[in-house]
This record gives sequence, structure tokens and C-alpha cells, in this order.
Amino acid sequence: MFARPLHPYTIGLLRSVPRLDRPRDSRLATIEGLPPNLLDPPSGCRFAARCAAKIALCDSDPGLIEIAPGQRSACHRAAELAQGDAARLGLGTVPPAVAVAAKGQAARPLLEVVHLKKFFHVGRKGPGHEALTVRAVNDVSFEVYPGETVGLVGESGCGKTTIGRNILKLDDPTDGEIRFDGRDLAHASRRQMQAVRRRIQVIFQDPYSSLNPRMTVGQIIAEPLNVYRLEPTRKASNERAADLLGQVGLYPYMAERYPHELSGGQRQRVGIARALAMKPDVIVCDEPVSALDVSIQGQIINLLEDLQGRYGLTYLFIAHDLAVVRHISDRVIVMYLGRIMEIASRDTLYDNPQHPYTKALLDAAPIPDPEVERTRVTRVLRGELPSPLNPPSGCVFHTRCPIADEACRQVIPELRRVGSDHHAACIKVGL
Amino acid sequence: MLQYTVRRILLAIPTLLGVAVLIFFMLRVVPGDIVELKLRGDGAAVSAETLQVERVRLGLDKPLSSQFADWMIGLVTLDFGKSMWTGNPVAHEIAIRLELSFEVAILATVIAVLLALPLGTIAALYKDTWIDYVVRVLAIAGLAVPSFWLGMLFILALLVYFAWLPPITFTPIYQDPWANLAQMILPALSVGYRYSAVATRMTRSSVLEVLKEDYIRTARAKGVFERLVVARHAIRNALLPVITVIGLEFAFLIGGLVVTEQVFNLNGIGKLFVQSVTRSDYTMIQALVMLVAFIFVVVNVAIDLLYARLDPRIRYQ
Repeated sequence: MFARPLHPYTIGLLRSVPRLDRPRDSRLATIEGLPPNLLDPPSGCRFAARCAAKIALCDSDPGLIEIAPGQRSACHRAAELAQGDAARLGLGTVPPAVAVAAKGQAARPLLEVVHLKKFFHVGRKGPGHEALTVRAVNDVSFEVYPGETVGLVGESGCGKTTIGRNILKLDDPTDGEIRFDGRDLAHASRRQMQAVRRRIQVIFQDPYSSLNPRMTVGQIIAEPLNVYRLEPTRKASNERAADLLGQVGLYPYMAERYPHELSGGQRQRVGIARALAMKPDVIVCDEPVSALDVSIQGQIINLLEDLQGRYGLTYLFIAHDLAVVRHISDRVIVMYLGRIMEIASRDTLYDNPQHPYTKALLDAAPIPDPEVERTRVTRVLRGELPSPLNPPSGCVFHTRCPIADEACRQVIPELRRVGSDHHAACIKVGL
Repeated sequence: MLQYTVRRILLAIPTLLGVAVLIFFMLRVVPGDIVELKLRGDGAAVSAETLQVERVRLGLDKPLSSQFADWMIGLVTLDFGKSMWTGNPVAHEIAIRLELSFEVAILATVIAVLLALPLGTIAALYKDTWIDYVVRVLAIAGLAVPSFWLGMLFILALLVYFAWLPPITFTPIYQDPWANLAQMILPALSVGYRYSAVATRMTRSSVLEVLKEDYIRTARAKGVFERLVVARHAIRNALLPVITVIGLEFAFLIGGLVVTEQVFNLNGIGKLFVQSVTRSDYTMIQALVMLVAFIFVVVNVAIDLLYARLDPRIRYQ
């Protein structure tokens, strides 16, 4: 199936998956269009409307026919696909190269996170109850420069979303600073924060629950415009909402729709339009594609990249999918149990990971190509993720690290420079 | 939507029919004979023939099936018959009390909503602070204190401190609003307090639930002021379960205020209900049960239609 797919839909799905093992050279291939309406399924081949290899015959329903031993395909042109190249049928066209704006690194970071700590106190207060502290984010520092995309990856529970929430001030940091354009947000008052809110926007993970079901799409997008009086009249903000819908690939008439009337990908586009409405400088993307189908995921990633090119946006891209992060990011931060393990520019990190945790993560991620997969040595991390209530001493990763020794239990490793634009928090890794 | 409404109203018919069958036959099974109660109730020596004559007059000698058929025909033509005890038309007996019962129910609902929505919301916003605790204690007290007892306290307090008693005779609100309110406000308050306790607790938990929703976080993140987040995003979404509670409680109040009506000497539906049951006044009980069932059905349909208004996700086919 993976090595030699014999249906255009399968080919499309495989091509729209970002690849961990390949640097970003182009836009993601996507399957154009939307899944068909099940109330009124197309006659003939179900996939024909979205298929690049469509011919007249596709108006009749293809049966599921055995093409090769053990491999059946419901495509009239499966035999041709089996012959060899899908490209001849129009399925292999390389999408246009992404217009990556030359991102000269600006001197001054737009966003600086300095020794950020966020602890949550859990458990009941009072005698007889132990006060428990979850160290969700423990002494994290990094910078984001204007116009770049910084990927923030790690397993669930590593604190990456908490960092996003702190930057947005949905949570107040326990300690440390968050500097945006030189101003500290961590200690900003509500009034001061209001002035900054417009410039830092967010796209949330779950496009189903993050839109108010009682408001139309137009109201959702226009609401902050009205709250901040960014447009002179309601009419103007409604027009702007319609315009934004067009920019994210939806139709202006959808402003009248309610979120539940849209598909997941369309809702995520609404979320993006809402974030764009404020003309922000930074968008925190908190797992924006992890709830979406792969074909839709590719469309959204492409949209985010296009918008970045058009408006010079800066992204903090939080995700757990290493392949997606490799595709979209300029620099990548790897986190584990509330601490940064490694920071590097994208290709450096993926081609030459230094920290044993980064190596393990990359090894554990599957690659949708059986031939590549066969040649890989898979090292699986032993053990469970330790409880953040009681993190290991020294290096938090030492309990699962293949190269840890006694020293790792004692010393909390600093982030050290291990190459150009490459830092790792491991005492075992040197230049 | 219109189609849905019509269908819901048509669906009410089998419900009401079921209620009718149940109440009719249950009444006949329950011991107690209106004729005996009425004629021999005071120990008078009345001959069996006289009893039989009265039975024939009331139609109680006919077989059950034909009694039921007569009643059903009456119901369909909106003729509820005459009270077996007083001989007055049932519709008239109910009508003169319904106004009062409705007024108490409406006043109590208004009081409950005015108390519950702000208190419940504030308690949710200030969860686990002293404000929340005060509201919760008030709500629990409202549930624990019987409303008739609270009513007695009201009356006693007014009597002791102001030497004032509410008027005893019912004055319709369109004749003399002040005299009317002077009589109705106390029962409405004592019932409304308990009612508001239920609604406050529902509002509080519902707002708390909604505040955890992702779209509230979205609203905050996009920079909407907290006041608007609460007013526009949270309360609107939290309202649905509160509406259900308020609606059902309202329907209950129409026939369920037996003791409170007693305490305030109100001649309402609840009092009529109890009287009729002790007298085994079949026609009256049947009509009252049908009335209460009808009100419940109407309130339920109204709640469902209101849901659709408030929540665009609910679109009835």
C-alpha cells in the first residue's frame, strides 16, 4: 500500500503527509476540494471530482478489482498506475516551490521568554494534605525573531501548550519574564495587556470546541474588531470579516453560517481568519493541524505559509508531530518535562540531532515509506514519562536516557552551544 | 420549524390521552364514594334508595366504559362536566382559581429568575471565594427551608413588627394592583426563594461548566474584555439547563402549592385539588389533572422551541 499505491486517493494522501526524512523544498501536496457530501454522493467514482487523473470513464462506478496479487483498487486507471509512473496521469506533479521570504535574522527578537516558570499547585490545601506542585514549565528561555517560525515540539505534558498560554497571558507565569517587543508581559496589568492582545493572536488545536456555537462565523471574526473599534462601523467590520474569509480560502457568504455547519478544515480556517483579523505580529499556533485529516492538514499548513509570506507574520508553532514541524519551522525547540532539551535551526536539528532525547524522538517517529522504514534502526525509549509532580533529579531525562550515568542524576544540565545556532542541554554532548 | 412545532403539539395528544386513561381508572380503583361522603358524610341516616338516585343523577351507575366515553366526548368538546360535589361547572370552579395560581407562579418565576441568574453567575465567577460561599449557603438554605414555613415567618414578622396582615380576599391585579400585590407578594416570595435556590445552583454549575469551554478561552485570547466574555459568551451558552429547570418548576407551581396556599389562605388550584381529593369529586380531580398535564406539555414544548432559538445547533427537522 505504501510502497506502490494503486489509487489516486491513496497517492494523494501519502503525498500530503509532511515527511520527517525530507527537508522542506516545496509546498505540501494537497488533495484539492472537500470530501463529498454524503447526503448526495457523486455517481460513478466517488473520488473523481477531486482526482487529477479523471477521464470520461470515471463517471461509471469502478469495482474493487485485483490489480496485483493481494492488491485491489477501485480505480479505472489502476492498471495504468501499476504500469509505472503516476506522474504521466497527472498525479505526480510537484507543487510549486514555496516562496520563502529571505529571513535575514533581525538584530532584536520580537518575543523573548526568559527563565519562564509555571507551577501548578494541585491537591487540597489544609492539614493532612500534601501540597503538590506540577512543574509544567521549569526555567525555559528562548527568543523568537520577527518573521520566523519557531517550532515547539515535545510529548504531551511537556509544557509546550503552557508556554503558549503564558505568552497569551491566559495563565500568569509563576516566575520569569515574557518580553514582547521589549515590554514585559509577565507582569503586565490587564489594561497594559489589552494593548498587546491585538498583536499576539492564537490559533487553537480543536476547531470544534474553540468556536462559540451560538455565534455566526461572521460574528466570531468581527467581535474583536468591534471590541477594539478597529473598524469605524459595524458594517466595515462585517466587510472586513467577509474579506478575511476570502483570504483564508472560504466564501464570504459563510459569514452567516454557524460553526457546526462547517467541516473541521473550514472551522480551522475560521480560526485563522479570526486570528488575522487583529493584524497581529505574532500568532501562537497551538497544534493547529493535529485534529485534522492529513489531506486537510496539508491545505492548512500551506495557508499558514502563504499568510506568513503575505503579512510577514511570526509564528510560534506548537506541535507534537515532528514531520509537520520540520515542514513549517525555521528553528525548532525540543522540550521534555518542562525543560528545553535542544534548540537548533530546522535542518541542523533533523539532520544532526545532538541530545539523546531528540534522537529518540526522531527514531520513534514513523516514516510512511516501507523502504526507508526498513533501513532505519528504531530505538524505542524505555520506561514511562516520569510524573511532573515529582520530576527526576539532575537531568529530567536521565531515567530514560540510553547514555545517562551517575553524573546525570546530580547536575541539571545547562543549554550549551554545540554548533552554530545549535544548543543542547546534555552534559554528555560536546562539540 | 413550523412543521416541528405542529408535530410536537400533535404528539401531546397521545400523552394527554394516556394521562386521561390513567387518572380515570385510578380514581375508580381508589376507595371512597362521593355519594356516601356527600350524603352520609355527617352521619346522617340516608336510605340506600336515595343514594342510588344520586348515583344515577351523577351517572355513576353506568358501566365504566360508557362513563369514560362520556367523559372523553366532553373533553374533546371542552366540556368538563359539573363538579359532583357542588354541582357547579368544573370549568367555572377552575377558572376562578386559575388566575390566582397563575399570578403566584408568574411572580415566583420572576423573583426566582431575578435572583438566580445574577447570583448563580456571580457565584461561578467568584468560585471558592466568600461570595460564592454566601450564595451557596443561601441556595442550600432555600432548598432546605419549606416555603410554607418561610411564609409563616413572613406573616408572623409582619404581624409582630408592623401589626399588619395581608388582605384575605383576592383582588384581581387589573382592579387594584396594590391590594393584589399586597396579598400575592408574600406567597410569591416564599415560593420564589426556594425556586430561586434550585435555579441558582443550576446557573452556577452551568456557568462554571461553560467557562471551561475552549471557546471561552478563544474569546479571552482574541482580546474580548472579560465582562463581554461572561455576558456574551458564557451566560448565553449556560442558559439552556437553567431554562429547563425554570420551566418545569413553573408548571409544578400551578397545581403544587397546596400548603403554601393554605398558609396564606389563598383560594388556588392547589387547595381545590386537595378539597376535591378528600371529597372524591371525580369530575373535578380529572379536570385538574388534565389541566396540570396540559400545562406541563405546553411548557415542555415551549422549552424545546426556546432551545432552538437560543442554540443554532438545535434545528428540529
